[in-house]
Order: sequence, then C-alpha cells, then structure tokens
Amino acid sequence: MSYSPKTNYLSDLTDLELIRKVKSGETQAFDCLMQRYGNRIYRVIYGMVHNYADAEDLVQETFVHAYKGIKKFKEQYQFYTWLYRIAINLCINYCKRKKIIQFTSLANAEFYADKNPKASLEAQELKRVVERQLAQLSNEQKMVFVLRTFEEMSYQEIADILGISVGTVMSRLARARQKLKELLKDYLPKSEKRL
Amino acid sequence: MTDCHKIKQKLNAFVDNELSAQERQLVEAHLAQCPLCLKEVATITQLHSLAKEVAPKLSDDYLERLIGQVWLKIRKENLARTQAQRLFFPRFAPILALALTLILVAVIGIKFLTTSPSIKKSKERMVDSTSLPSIAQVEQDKVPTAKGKTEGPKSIISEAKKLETKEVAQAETKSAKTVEGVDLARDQAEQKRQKSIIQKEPLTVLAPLTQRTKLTEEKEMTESWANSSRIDKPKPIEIPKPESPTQSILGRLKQKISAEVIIQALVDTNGMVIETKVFKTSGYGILDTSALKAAKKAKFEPARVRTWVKIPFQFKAPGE
Repeated sequence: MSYSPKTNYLSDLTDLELIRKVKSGETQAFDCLMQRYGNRIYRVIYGMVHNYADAEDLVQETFVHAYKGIKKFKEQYQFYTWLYRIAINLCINYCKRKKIIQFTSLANAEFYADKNPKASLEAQELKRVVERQLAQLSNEQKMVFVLRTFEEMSYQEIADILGISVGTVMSRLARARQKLKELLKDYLPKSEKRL
Repeated sequence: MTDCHKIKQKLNAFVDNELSAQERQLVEAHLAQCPLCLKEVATITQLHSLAKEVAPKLSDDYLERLIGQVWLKIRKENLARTQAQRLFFPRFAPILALALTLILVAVIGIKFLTTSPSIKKSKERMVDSTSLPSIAQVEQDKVPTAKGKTEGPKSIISEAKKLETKEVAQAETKSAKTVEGVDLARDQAEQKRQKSIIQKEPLTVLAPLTQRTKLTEEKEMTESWANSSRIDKPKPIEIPKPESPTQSILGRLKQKISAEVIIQALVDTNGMVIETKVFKTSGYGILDTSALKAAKKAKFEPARVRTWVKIPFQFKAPGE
C-alpha cells in the first residue's frame, strides 16, 4: 500500500497519536488507521461470515462505528483491541441476523468428504472445504480460532478482545481444533507425518 | 498414561508457543518418548496451516476502496442526522419554545389573579366542631331536669347567634340612620360588596346570583350587611333532641353507662342540613338512626360555604 504525501508523515505515528489527531479533527489520521488495520479486520470478519461482499460491508461498518465512537475511546486500552471488539460484535449481530451458523449443511460436508481429497481436490477446493467446516463451529469457538489462526494473536490478546479469561480461550480453542480435526480428518496427515 | 493425559491438555498451547519455558521443556521431554502425543502435535500444526490458507488474500486497491467507502458512509450518516435534527428541532425551535413558555406563564398568571382564594378552596370544607362545646352537654348543663329519662340534645340558641343578631341589629340601625329608602340601602350594600371584592376579602363573597334573586329585597339587604360578619364555620342554632330509644336499648346501655354518636352534617349556606352521615357510631344502630334524624332537623348559623360539621350526641342510661 502506497501512502500519499499528505498522509506519509502520519504513518510513523503510533495508534494513540493518530487517535489524538482524529479527536482534534484531523481526519487524515483516521485514513492511516484504516490502512493499518483494514486488512486484519477484513480477515477476521471474513473468517466469521465466509462471504466476501458481506465481509467488506462489515469492515466498513466497523470503521464507521470506530470513527463515530472515537471520542469515547479510552486511551489506556489498545486501539486494535477496541477495533476488533467492534468487528466481533458486528459479526455476532450479522450471524444472528443471517443465521450463518446453519450456512453449511451436513449434506455438503459429506459430499466433499466422499471424494478422495488427495487425488481430486485442488488447493482451491480444499480451501472451500475448510471454510465450510469452519462455518460449523459455534460463534464462540470460531472467534477464538479465527483470531488465533488468521491473526496469530496470543491467548492474552484474544482474551482481551473477547473479554474472557485466558483459560476460556484455551478451552474454546482446544474444542474448536478437536471439532475441526474430526471434520477434516481426511485432509489431515496420517500418523507417519512428523512435526 | 496419566502423564500423557496431562501433556495432551497442553499440546495446543505448546503448538501456539504459549507455554512457559519450564512447561515447554516438560512437553518436549514427553514428546521424545510418546509417539501418540507427537502425532497429535503434528495434527494440530497441520490443521493450523490448513486453516490459515482460508484467510482471504486481498486485492491491492482494497484499502483505498475501503477508505473511500467508509468516508462515504460517514458523510451519509452525518447528513441523515442533520436532516433528522432539522426535522425535529427546526431553527425556530428556541423561539417557539420561548413563546410557548410565555403563553403558559401568562395563562397561569391570569388564572391565578382572577381566581378568588375563597373559590380556590374546596366548596365543602370539613370543620371539626368537636372543639365547640358538646351540644348535648351544654343542654345537660342548662336543663338538669332532662336527666330523668334520656339525656339528649335540646334545641338551644348559642351565644354566637346572639352576638350575630346583635351585629345585624346594629347594622340595620346604621342603615336606617343614613337612608330610609330601600334603593339607597341596596346601593350602599352594592357599594360595600364592590369594596369588599376590591379588597379581595373572602369573607364578603356573596351567594350565587341565582340564589340572591330568590331572596326578597329585605332579605338581600340584611344578608349584605350580614355578609360582612359571616362566619367561617356554621354555628348551631337549633339541634332537636333525638327520639327516645326503646327501654331494651336503654337497659343495655346500663352496662356501658353512656354512648356517644358523632354525626357528620353538611350545612348549606342557608344553615340547613342537607346531608348527614355517621362519623362515629355508638355501636347501636337504633341510637345512630335516632341521632341521624335529629341532626337532619338541626339548624345552623350558615358559614360562607357549604361546610361539614360534626355533631356529638350523648345517650345516657336512665338513672345515671
């Protein structure tokens, strides 16, 4: 991403400095924040909703919400934690609205499972299978799994974003992985695979 | 195996590099011996990389598009909010609010100024006449011979009534001195009434017009003079004695020695009782009824407005 000369000097500033500038009316600082977190927020939202168009809309909504509420943002917190929380809340609302949990039926899962994955499925198809199995997780499990897998966040960061304990993060992640392991057993390495 | 079970719980954290150095060493030592746990670690790692592939790859112009869209949405929302504010809070809203407040204050002020304090008060006031001497007791004091059978109230003329009649007589004398004609007397009465209205003295509020037209000229004149000395609460003029209860009741009263009934009576502006009710029962229905009947026939010196008064009746057993 190339920065325009106008916003170039802002890219060196920290999140907090940018937020202060936004609060004082310098809207270009918010552009910089969007450039910093746009991709990451999109990945997480996509991991939750599995739909490109809806994910894009939700990312935009997230930043609109953040801009509207930036004056209420307390500086002792991390900006990205606050931003992710907005995104996660919007995703939960979206899922409730669309009942995305039932997005993938078991019939579909079986359809892919019946095929011989090693021989017939290409990488793109495998991705789609994983995506569909991921959609079968509960919202809580999915949130933890997506933040850990897509964003490589630490357990503590996930706990902060979701407002839960590290122990809960660990147990949710373990359950999510266990479930996915069962759903994707045909695509995972056999015993001979070593770390 | 117990060791293996414990280690399995930590494998996720091991893969995610979330273990402390000590725990990590412990797990690594176990993995060197346990092929099952090693397989589990491999599966978790594989699952992690497989799922990571699902993460979308974004186009180069995505961020620019995002920024443009976000600002567009913010501007749209701001516009909608401004329109809503204009709709519900127009520019002239403060002026409108001020005008409404002024009108409200003016209306309340006019109403307050035009309403007489006597009208503000409720027409029916409750006057506790128990502060007055008990009529029946007064009668007993005055007529000791009545003790023979039933001690009940007799018709009496109160001292207040006497004073009142004195005042009226004085007023009449005064009017006779100045002008003998009825018309002049009426003029004077009218003047006095006007003056009293200006002074806003509640004591001089006249009776309703309809009621006044019914009165004769003479009565009206007298009333106009009497108005100046009208009392706040009705004073008893005549309270008849209640009917004698039957001997059986009186016999029963022997045990109780005496019984008291307090009747609440609504006295109108003519001094007549228009409504009665038992305020405090004697416990004997017949005594209450008797007292009610007597109270209905009572006459009072009228007050300025219709007023509730309490009339106590005492019944005493024969021989007491």
